[in-house]
Amino acid sequence: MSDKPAEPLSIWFFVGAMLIVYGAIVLGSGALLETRPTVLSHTRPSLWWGGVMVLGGLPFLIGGWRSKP
Amino acid sequence: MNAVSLSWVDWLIIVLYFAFIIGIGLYLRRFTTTGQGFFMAGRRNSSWVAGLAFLSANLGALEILGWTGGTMKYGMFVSHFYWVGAIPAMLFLGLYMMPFYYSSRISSVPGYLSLRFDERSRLLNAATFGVMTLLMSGINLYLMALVLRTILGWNWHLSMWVSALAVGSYIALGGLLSAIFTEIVQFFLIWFGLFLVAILGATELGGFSAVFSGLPEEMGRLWATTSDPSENAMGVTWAGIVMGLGFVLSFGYWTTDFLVVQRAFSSKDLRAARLTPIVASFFKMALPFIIVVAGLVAFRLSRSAADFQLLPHPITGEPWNDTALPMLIARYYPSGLVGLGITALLAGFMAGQAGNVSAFNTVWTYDIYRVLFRKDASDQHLVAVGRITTVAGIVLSVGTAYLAMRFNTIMDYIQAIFSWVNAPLFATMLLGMFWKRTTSSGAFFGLIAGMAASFSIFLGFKLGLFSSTVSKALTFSEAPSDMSRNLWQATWAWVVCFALTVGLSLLTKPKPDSELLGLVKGLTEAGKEEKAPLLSRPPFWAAVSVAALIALNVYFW
Repeated sequence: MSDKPAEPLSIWFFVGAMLIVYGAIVLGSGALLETRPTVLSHTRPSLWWGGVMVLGGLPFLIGGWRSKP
Repeated sequence: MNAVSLSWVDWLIIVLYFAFIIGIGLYLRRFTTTGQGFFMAGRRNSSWVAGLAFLSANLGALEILGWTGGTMKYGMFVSHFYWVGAIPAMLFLGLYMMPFYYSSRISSVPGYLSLRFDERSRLLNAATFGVMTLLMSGINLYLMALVLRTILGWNWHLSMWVSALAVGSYIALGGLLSAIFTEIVQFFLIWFGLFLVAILGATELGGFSAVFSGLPEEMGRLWATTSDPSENAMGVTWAGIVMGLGFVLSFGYWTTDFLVVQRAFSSKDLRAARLTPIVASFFKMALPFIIVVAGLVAFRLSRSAADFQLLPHPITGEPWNDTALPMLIARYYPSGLVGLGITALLAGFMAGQAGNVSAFNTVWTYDIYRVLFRKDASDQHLVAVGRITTVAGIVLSVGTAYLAMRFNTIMDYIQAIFSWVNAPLFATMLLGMFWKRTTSSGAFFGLIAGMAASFSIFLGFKLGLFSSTVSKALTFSEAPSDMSRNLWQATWAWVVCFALTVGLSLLTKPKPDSELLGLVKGLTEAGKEEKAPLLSRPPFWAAVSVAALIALNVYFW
């Protein structure tokens, strides 16, 4: 049995997971939900911003899974 | 009727965030059973992790809401607080002060004062820092409640207590490690949750250049209107900005405030600790592209758009600048994004609150409790005290939150607090680290005198005790704004502390060199960065940061 103390998962993994989950929810809400009218709502900010979050979160999730804190 | 109502998807995002941070606290508890684990996050972080946490500890809801509102009052001048009022001090900390802090293996800034001087200075700084963090923590709570009440119509008192308990839970469980994890998550939430406000605001006004082009002259430039205080919205000269903000207040905060410096202490080695504030400096420079741009958009809309109005202040009834950002979220964000925007503000609050509480529990445990009550306390005992202190700090900060309700423009008040505590402390630290002749008595009485000077000037202005002649002599302005007074108040506090410390040190006996090894320049071994590759050296990245700072100031001159 090793005496080496356990290390927590990298923070970057949590960052990636959060961005992907939130991005997916925002993107999904933009695609599926009918929401209240807002200024510039015709530009569909939920759709493209949610996509940016998902894409931005992927490198953190993958890199964080492999690395130390 | 509330400014905006939440759909189920917004609620889902908010509830997920609370579950996430509590889950992080529970997950990290097993890694924080020792003093080093709980109070120092195990000293294993990279410069990226420590750097983002270093920045995020300063980036609370206080920062975001206060300065977005402040931009409506001061315009582009708010950028000074992110650029000249932050970057030089952060780089100075990384390049010149961190070797003394990190090499002495201390747990806190008051701990350095103990080693360099004596227990008097340590206790004085620990006590004042403790009071300051509780006040700051209370203001964070107050802003949190403001967000919830403004946008959601939630009960003011209930929302303060619920959010305070959430923060208390995950800090009591995971200590500084938990705070750092949530601070980094918060950093990304701030960017992804709030930068879209600036993008959509600029889009509505016709592009980023249009945001700046329509501003009044006194709000639209950084330096061009600073030769005469009557020509700019802050009512301050370039000398006040450079000396009061760029030197005294900024260096006082970024180099001595344990709240932020503690994050660098969690680094895995000296090079990572030195790079911590340097990494943070780049992200600090970028923040005006969220905060100042959003504030300028709100300023422009408040004058041109009939459907954009700030909410009234609950006490004065006047338009409340600090509600600018929530009103922009309500204006631009559809369901889903509203939840994200509110969560970003919640995260900003949580991180700011967590930063204050984690710094408070360390200073209380190591610099007050252990010194005064249990000198022989075991590691396990100190961790238990740290967890209990976290809960007590949360309860006390709720009490101070009600004090914050009495002030309209919050950041003016914060600057006043900083100038009482941090500005004179910076003089003490500067002399302590770079002049080995500085004595313990000189430092202690100089610090007291500097704090007394700052507080006296604050009271003098607040109570109207100063004649116009005295006021002008202190601020170099006929009609100084609150911000201008704070900047000069900090400067005078620093000058008094510096002069008295030097004078008393020359009259008293210094410590022998053998007791100052590793604590003072000339008696501390230099790091080994010079042998590292160029891209790993702190001085290289500091030079890049300076170049970026100069470019931004020239562009917005």
